[in-house]
Amino acid sequence: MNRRSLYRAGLLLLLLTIITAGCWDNKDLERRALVLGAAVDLTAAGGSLVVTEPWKITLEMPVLRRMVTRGGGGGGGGEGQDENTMPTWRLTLTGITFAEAIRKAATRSERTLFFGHQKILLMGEELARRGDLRSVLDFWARNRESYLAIDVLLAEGPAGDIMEARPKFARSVSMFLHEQMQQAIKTSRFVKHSLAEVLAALDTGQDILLARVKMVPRQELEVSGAGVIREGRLAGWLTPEETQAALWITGETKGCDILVVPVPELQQTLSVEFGKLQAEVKPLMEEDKLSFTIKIKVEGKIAEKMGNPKLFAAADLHQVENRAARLMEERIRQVLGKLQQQYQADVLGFGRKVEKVRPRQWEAMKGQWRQIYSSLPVTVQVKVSIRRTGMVS
Amino acid sequence: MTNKSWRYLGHRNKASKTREKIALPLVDEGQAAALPLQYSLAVNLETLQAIFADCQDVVYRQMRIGGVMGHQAALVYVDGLVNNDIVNDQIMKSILLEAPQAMPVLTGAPYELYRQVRDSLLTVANVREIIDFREAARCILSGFALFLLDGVNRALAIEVYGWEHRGVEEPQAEALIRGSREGFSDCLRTNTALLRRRLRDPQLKLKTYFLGRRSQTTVGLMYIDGVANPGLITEVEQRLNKIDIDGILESGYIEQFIEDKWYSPFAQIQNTERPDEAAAALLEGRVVILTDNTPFALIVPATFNSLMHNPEDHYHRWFIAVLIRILRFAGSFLALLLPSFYIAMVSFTPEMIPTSLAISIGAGREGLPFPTIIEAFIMESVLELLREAGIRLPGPLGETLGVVGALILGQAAVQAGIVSSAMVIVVALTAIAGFVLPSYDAAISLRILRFFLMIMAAVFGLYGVILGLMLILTHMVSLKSFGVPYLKPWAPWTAADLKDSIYRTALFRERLRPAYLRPLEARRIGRGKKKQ
Repeated sequence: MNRRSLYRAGLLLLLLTIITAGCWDNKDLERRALVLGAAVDLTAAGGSLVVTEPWKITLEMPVLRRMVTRGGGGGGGGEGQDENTMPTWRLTLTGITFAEAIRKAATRSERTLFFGHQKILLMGEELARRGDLRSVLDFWARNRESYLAIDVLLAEGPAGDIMEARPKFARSVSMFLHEQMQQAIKTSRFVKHSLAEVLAALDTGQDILLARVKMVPRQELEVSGAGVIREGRLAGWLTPEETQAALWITGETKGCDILVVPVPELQQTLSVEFGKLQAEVKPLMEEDKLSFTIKIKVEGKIAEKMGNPKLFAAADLHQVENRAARLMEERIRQVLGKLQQQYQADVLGFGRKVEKVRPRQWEAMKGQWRQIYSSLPVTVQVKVSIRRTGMVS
Repeated sequence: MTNKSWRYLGHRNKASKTREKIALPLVDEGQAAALPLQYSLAVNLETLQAIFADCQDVVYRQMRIGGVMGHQAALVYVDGLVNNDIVNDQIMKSILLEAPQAMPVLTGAPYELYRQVRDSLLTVANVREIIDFREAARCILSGFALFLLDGVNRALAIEVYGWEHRGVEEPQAEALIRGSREGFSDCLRTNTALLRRRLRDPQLKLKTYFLGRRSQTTVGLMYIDGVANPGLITEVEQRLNKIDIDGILESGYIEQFIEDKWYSPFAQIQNTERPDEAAAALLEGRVVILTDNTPFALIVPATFNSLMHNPEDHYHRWFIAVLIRILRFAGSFLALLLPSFYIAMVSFTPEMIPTSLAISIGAGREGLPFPTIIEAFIMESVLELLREAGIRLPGPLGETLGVVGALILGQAAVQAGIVSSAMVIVVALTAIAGFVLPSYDAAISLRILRFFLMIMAAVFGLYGVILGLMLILTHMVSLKSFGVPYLKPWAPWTAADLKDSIYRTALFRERLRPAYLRPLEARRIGRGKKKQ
């Protein structure tokens, strides 16, 4: 065979692949139903797992035309939305497994579900308490379309109800929650964990905190506080303040957090805004007795001062720093108490620290880590330094 | 491969490489063209009349110099090719009036008179002596008047051409903001003069060829001796000499005969109607081929890089030029890739579109009758239609048709719910990006490849687009123009030549000529003399 006929054969092969292989995966955007978010719950009110179809899933999908308002006019304003003008469609399905429930969507929706744009996965409180999170998340871990960057959140109450909320800026609950999670940088009152992080934690048997969503009046939503996931189940909640304190320990606080410090000596109440927070968690081994020290260094500035209009002297600032440090220590101890004794959940990763620093001792104590953890002595030292006092001194 | 004759269609015969240029007779095989001129005027005129049989625009003016008994002479020329004023005032006058005065006794040998006319009487600068009919016929057809004298076996070809031709006008296809407003004209001599005016260097050489068996088109090969690589010049000469065709009507004929790869969608030879661009190419060490009867000069070798450049790039200050070049290269990517990327994204991998954009596109596409792929092909075809129609329509009407047609058609199609507005935006953006390219040839190859990539996207999605891009890139890398790799200076990489690629350095730093042209004299900007 000479070169030319070889070329020709090659060209023929190329053409054949084009003609015969067809267009796999070719489905135009408007023929897919973009799933923006999914809320999973248990069907039975009591949370029984023995009913035939225990799982319920609510999918939020945009009704494309209503999502886009053109030129301001028409579009049907925000208020008084009923089912026919809502920009999203919430499809609730039940099934023996999630995969089965979702496949049933083919009987309800003429468009194929598409998970490539899923932003959030919301788990109902009941489901999180009763069900095993690893099994719940397995579908999303395996699904080719879903991204591992999906935010995983817990709902206070049934997750499906959250999907009925009416966010005021965003045009869908999922978009709202997705945007809302970006606000984690502004406050440490909730945590932001992606599906990848949750799956990794569950697979290595670690405990983890998940953000909590709850309905507030006027069908609005609030993301604050955290659910403590212990051994793949929801053990209980942390209040927003406790979440804050927990995040100080892990050092996840990105700054910008506000700490209100009452200083009775000056008859003032101050808001200290965090600039930089450095946390150091160290396991100590003394005569086979394990203890932890937590050292936190905070740089802050005065964001607001109420009460006595007197200006700061250097010594006063010192007092404020002291007060703030003591306050933080107290709140850290409180959340530690709750996590250690009440929930016995090592969401702060103390176990991992021991494993890293003292791998041999860790092997020995791995088995009864929860008992050791719940009675672990922890020393907390906080140092606050105020660098700026704002535009007025 | 049974059908032998098929193989020759579209393939240049490799065997012709060694074949010598066939010395074909100028006019007709039977006429013995290289026949020498005879002493007898009657015989000579007869032969010429036989050569130009049935050519009624050939004028034979017979006369007697010095009265009734004087010497018989004739003037032969083609009416319309010569300037009648010059023929009357400079030739007829000097022959008929001044010759008898200068040589009152016309009894001498005819050759004396011939010499007198040639040396002392003709007031035309360019006069050639002709000894055979082949040359005689060529001169007559090139706008010379042929002076024949009885008893002399020679003739004088007097340059008196003065046909109607287009003057020097502003170039139509390559308008610039800054730079010369002169463009090449249709007349070769004007064009060589335009280049001479820009490069007053005796080293600027001009070699003339007559190509086309019947058209005998004058083709000028210009280069700067001592700068352009001699190897390149020989290569160009060899390729030009191999051209064997009846007529060369435009430089495109030459381009298609001397280019390296006939099947490549990319132009391997640059063409320009700007004398300044040609002069810049000459200075870089390239070779310019001028063809009579067309304003388009060819520049060899060309690279993709040089096709993306514009003479204006060097007239502006360097950072303006860099900005414009970045824009231009970005535009070329858009023109090539935008529709195929759109198809791939919308039909195959919608997860790669940001969510809110996906919702907007999806909302616009709801209820449309065609899938994205068909929609894209329809709209791109409409665009090409409009563009082609715009060329045919006269002047400003054509330009408006493009804009108005696209706007109205696009708007109507969106309102009628036939295409989505996103698609209209994509198509419009692609078209606009295509116009950013300075070279029509580069733009058109991208246009062709755009459709190729759209098919790839339609079949394989993003994977197909990448596959198609790899194919294109592989082809470009393997392509050569007169021995110069097409993707120089990027592949193979030459760091020094990057000074004039997407990036352009300050002019005083661009000291060396492009190394890939292997110029004899590398340095352009003098050593030591920095910018003050």
